[in-house]
Amino acid sequence: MSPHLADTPVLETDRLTLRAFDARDVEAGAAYLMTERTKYMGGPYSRADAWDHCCGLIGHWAVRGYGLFAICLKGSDQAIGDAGLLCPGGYHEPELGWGIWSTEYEGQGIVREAARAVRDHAYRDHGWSTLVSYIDPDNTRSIALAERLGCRLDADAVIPDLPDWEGTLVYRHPGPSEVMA
Amino acid sequence: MTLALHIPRLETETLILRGPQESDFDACAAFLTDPVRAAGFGVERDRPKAWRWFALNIGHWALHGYGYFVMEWKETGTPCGLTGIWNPEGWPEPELGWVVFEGYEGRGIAFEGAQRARRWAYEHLGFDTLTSNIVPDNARSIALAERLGAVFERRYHNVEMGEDLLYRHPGPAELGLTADADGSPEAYA
Repeated sequence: MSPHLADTPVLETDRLTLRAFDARDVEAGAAYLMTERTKYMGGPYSRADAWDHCCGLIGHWAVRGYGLFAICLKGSDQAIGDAGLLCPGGYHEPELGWGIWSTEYEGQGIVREAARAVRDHAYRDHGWSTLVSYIDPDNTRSIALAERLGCRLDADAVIPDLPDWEGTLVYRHPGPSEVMA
Repeated sequence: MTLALHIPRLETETLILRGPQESDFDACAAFLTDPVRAAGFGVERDRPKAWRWFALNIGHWALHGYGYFVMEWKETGTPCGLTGIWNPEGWPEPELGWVVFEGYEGRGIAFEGAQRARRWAYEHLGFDTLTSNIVPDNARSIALAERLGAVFERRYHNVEMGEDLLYRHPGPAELGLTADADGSPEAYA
């Protein structure tokens, strides 16, 4: 048996198509990881590390059966950001993560729209009952988004066993009964 | 939506070379976090980092159409090493690599597996040359490269490993191999 990478879901919102991050996104994804925009998530990365990270995101789908989506504007196949479900080694529970890859697409509610779709997908299609988002305390934009998504700080959550994660804030999302129609 | 991921299953007398599966992770992590055994391959700090390498390898397959196979000891079905073609960002060119897990030395696994992976790369991927990158003090790997017919070409700086030796393998013609009908790189693009 080989790792299964087929049949990844596609999520549609009013403005966006979310599809699995894959080989076609590696160039743009790596370019994003090499910018200051990723300073709250271990970046900026070297080119080699960015490439490794992107390949790891593809492999995440195969190992876990879920993963990161590329955010595309409807009608386009070009990723402009990411949102998805992540549980790499060291995590104790899956995280809803997100990022917008350039300033051009900030301030339009794109990540919020994507994150909502991913959260609904996690609750509806995976049957999960809870989700967290890990956020650097200095990342005010992400904290504001988490709050708009209804998240609350969870002081009791266990932070991933990873170096340099001390002080990371854990925002817990409202559960399915609170957000699902 | 479908993401293609075609990893063949190859056989030798004592081994099966196949795509990684989740049950291989413990054996892979034990190897990758072993500072002595993985010194020439790239030591990972801990299991979380080893998990990232494991996922990276699968993504490498998705991107390139090749990567590291898990070698399975046919008699027991247990993972006993890795071999395959590796070419992440920053690599000088695609490399044939091999490692043997603890407890499986002395059985000729690396030679048998690497030879099979090389043949696959020449016959099915349409490669016309292959290298192996070896850290200078890895005498065992140098001996194996030479046994595989590879010759030292140059020293260079590897983006992950630092000072590194580049060995060049005999090409397909020298090994009497020819590419399949679909054995062009385009077929896997």
